[in-house]
Amino acid sequence: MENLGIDWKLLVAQLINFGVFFVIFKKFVAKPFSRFLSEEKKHEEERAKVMEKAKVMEEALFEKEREWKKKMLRESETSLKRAKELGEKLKKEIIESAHKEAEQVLVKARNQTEEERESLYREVKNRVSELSMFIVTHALNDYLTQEAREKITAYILKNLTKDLDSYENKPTS
Amino acid sequence: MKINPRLKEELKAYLKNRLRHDPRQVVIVSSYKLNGKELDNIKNEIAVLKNAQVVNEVDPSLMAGIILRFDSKMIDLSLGGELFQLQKRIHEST
Repeated sequence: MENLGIDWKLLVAQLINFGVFFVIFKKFVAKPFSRFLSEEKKHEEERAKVMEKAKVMEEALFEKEREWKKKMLRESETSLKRAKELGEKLKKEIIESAHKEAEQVLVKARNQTEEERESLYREVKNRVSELSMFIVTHALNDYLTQEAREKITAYILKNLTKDLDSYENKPTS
Repeated sequence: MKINPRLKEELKAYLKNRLRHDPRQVVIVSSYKLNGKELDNIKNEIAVLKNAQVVNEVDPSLMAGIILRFDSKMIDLSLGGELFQLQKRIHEST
């Protein structure tokens, strides 16, 4: 064996060295290292789970947001439709009310015109009668002679057909 | 204001007595001065003028006819009055 260049002492020392190294390595390096690796693996797995959860939550949130947007859109369309209908209704009511008022004003104006016409007609008639009486009175005053007055007075007295009381307290001009 | 009832009665009696004894005064308003004959004719036609004291007033606005005034009454038999009544009827008819 010495001829092969193998030193038994060295080999044994190397083996012992290796063994010691192996033990030390196993005890102080391998175990903590493997523990570290398993812990890292565990952490990694937990992170993956958390990511998964977060992803699921994010999707759920996105879904909620989409639904919420749809709902808002629907509600806004409904509100807009209702507002339009209300606006149309108000517009109709205002127009109807304006028509009614216009008709009332027209009727009132017509009645007023009619009343004024009647009043004017009455006034004209009164004026004409007053003027006629004035003309007749003055004409008679100028035309009637003393003889005519006497004859008329005698005629009135002769033809008293009603009771005197029926002529009572009538005011003169 | 309350009047003494005895005073009231005495006043009534006095006025009745005056009315009975004093002659009634009648005012005849005409458009011209009436002569005696015309006044007599009027007294004959109208009973209220009998035994009354007649006073004749002239008012040319009557045109013709007469107005009698006695006590609180006024009786219009004038042409002016008739024309006025006609005017009033025309007014009322409008």
